[in-house]
Amino acid sequence: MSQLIFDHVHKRYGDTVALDGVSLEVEAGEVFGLLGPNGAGKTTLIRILMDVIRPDRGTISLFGQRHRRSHLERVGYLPEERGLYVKHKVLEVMTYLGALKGLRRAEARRRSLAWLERLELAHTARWKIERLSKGMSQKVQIAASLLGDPELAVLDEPFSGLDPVNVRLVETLIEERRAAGHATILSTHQMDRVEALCDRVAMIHRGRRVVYGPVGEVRRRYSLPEVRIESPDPLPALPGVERSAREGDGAYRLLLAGDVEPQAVLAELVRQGVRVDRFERVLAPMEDIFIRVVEGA
Amino acid sequence: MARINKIGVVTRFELESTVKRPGYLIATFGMPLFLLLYAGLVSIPAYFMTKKESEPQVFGIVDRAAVLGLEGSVQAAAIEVPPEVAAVLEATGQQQVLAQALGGDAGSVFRPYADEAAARRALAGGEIAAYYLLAEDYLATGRADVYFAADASWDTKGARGALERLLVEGLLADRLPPELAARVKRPIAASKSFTVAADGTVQPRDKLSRILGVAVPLGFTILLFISTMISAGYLIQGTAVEKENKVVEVLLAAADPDEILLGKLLGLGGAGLLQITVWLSMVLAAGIFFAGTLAALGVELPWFAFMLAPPFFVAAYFFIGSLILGTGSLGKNLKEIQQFSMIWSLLPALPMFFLGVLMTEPNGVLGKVLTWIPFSTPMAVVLRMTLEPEGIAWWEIGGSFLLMLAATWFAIRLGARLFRVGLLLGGARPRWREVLRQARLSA
Repeated sequence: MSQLIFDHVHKRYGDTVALDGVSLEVEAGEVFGLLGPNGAGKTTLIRILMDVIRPDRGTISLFGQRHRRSHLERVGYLPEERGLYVKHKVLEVMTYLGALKGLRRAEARRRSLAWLERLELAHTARWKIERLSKGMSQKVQIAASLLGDPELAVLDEPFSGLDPVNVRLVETLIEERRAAGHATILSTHQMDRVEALCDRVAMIHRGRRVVYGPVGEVRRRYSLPEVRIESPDPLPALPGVERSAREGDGAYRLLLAGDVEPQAVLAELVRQGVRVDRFERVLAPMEDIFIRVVEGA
Repeated sequence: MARINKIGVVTRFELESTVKRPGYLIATFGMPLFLLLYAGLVSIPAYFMTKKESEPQVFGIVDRAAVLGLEGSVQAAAIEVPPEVAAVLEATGQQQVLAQALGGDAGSVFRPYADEAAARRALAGGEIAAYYLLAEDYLATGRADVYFAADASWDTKGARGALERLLVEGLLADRLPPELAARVKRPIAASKSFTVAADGTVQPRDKLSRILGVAVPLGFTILLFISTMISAGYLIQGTAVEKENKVVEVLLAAADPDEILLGKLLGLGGAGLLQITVWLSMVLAAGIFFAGTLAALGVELPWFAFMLAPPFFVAAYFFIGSLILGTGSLGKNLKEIQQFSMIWSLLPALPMFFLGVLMTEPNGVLGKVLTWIPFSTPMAVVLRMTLEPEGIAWWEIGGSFLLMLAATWFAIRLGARLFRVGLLLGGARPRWREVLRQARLSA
């Protein structure tokens, strides 16, 4: 079931077109990567979802109904341009934001303490925000956005400022959300995180949706017909292979002719008695796809 | 439609955040404490001085002219004050204060001495503070010299006033009939002032009560105006905090701009109100202290104007506060926010600039025009109601209040839209065309 549907959404600021008929859907229980270069229109799209700004045209459906402000109680939001009341205590701010999201004050406080415990920040509950390190502050903000256990969470650059241990922690949180059937929109420039976490992606460029689909499918779509083979034996000449090269670790990288399936190459190797330790289709990394799309390749 | 629970959450947070601030606590409770401390420090020496002066002093009298005929020590007669003043003093328990102010010698005791040598011995022995010598030719010259001890302190005073009253008593006794003697001692015993109106009606004229009748409500109006401006100041600070901490987007994702705006207005307005309540309690204490005086003077306070003032000023706070929040949110930092909001803080002070004209002619053209400008409505209406209540029509009061409410509703709507636009234009300096366009889309 689609938790969120953008249907031909348009938005412009003065003479600048921020969104030009963007359509996309986010399903329940998936991690959806919202990608694009700076100024592409991602933040505008998110702000429209959060009803911070209104679209010029197009419709948005949330949880199977036409977008209404009351639906936002079920949406968590970590904006890119974010901050907290630096002169206030951590627990006060989290409780306030939880209460603002519709939780009862006592419940917001209880959940805040539980989240701080989970993020190993229980000792900071009575600290002023200004005393937190950048990473700590980042984790508090993520916790505040997920306090209400939202069915849909929008996390804009959640990994910025985090060390590898905390990156792993946030990844775990996102994976737990997926396991619980909750949808997460992940907006990030860290393409390795997209590959590791996202089920589907959409890339926005100059206000238009230029890439859209499951991560694996997108990567296959933008990949050359290449296979990578690890073998203790030298590879014989194979039909349908246009180019062969050795990589640093001794593996072979073969560029296939357009109409040749990788399975045919594997079958030929087996037929010729070549021992194969590893055989895989080489998929283009998301980072390459990102750069190719943005540079118009 | 704004949701009450969201407004309540924002209100509570803003109120708690503000009243916990050290600056707020110092301003709210520190100032009255400072004033109390100051008053205490000032009154301690005054208390001891008064106590010292209230102890009766003994003066010697050497009556060579034989006009007093004293046979033993005598206390000077008390000062006689006009009955209307006496009533006021009695009501406020201030008889002693006036007696001190008029002469300071009401408790002086005069002790007769047969000759100057006896008086000097008493002076040297510290039995008397000073002695008066009435010359033989006193009746012709009126000469009465006073002699102090060489070691008398600089502030040792004589008892000239008390002695004069004693001499008047002595000179008149047995010389005039009692009634005439009383008139000589006090030619005007009672007097009232009246004004004669053009139609011939006569009314009591009491300048002091009239001045107080204007000054008290005027002070009250100015206090309400100051409280509105203080609360507006908190709004400016609050907007700056959110802008500088980049919290607005998180808030807007959780609540409607109208809800945030109203919550802030209520929370920060409540903080301002609390501060003014603390300060007012001091004024009230002073008011209770002087209530008897005002009542005794027959001061007629314009209670209807007093009752009208709070709703007008509450509406004014929401009206001006919404505009401050809306335009203030277009600024990037405290300095810009103050610049953008300044105009809204200045406009309500408009009647203050024309106070002279309004005092002279409260129901003139200027007063009537200012009544219908929402920025100046509260002050104009309350001033007119205070100074010349018969000159303002009921429809002017009702109509201007309705206009004030309509303007407030419009200001809240506009403020909420600008608040949203202020966020979305983020770090960039907003262009008015874009602000208007976004405000239209926010509807």
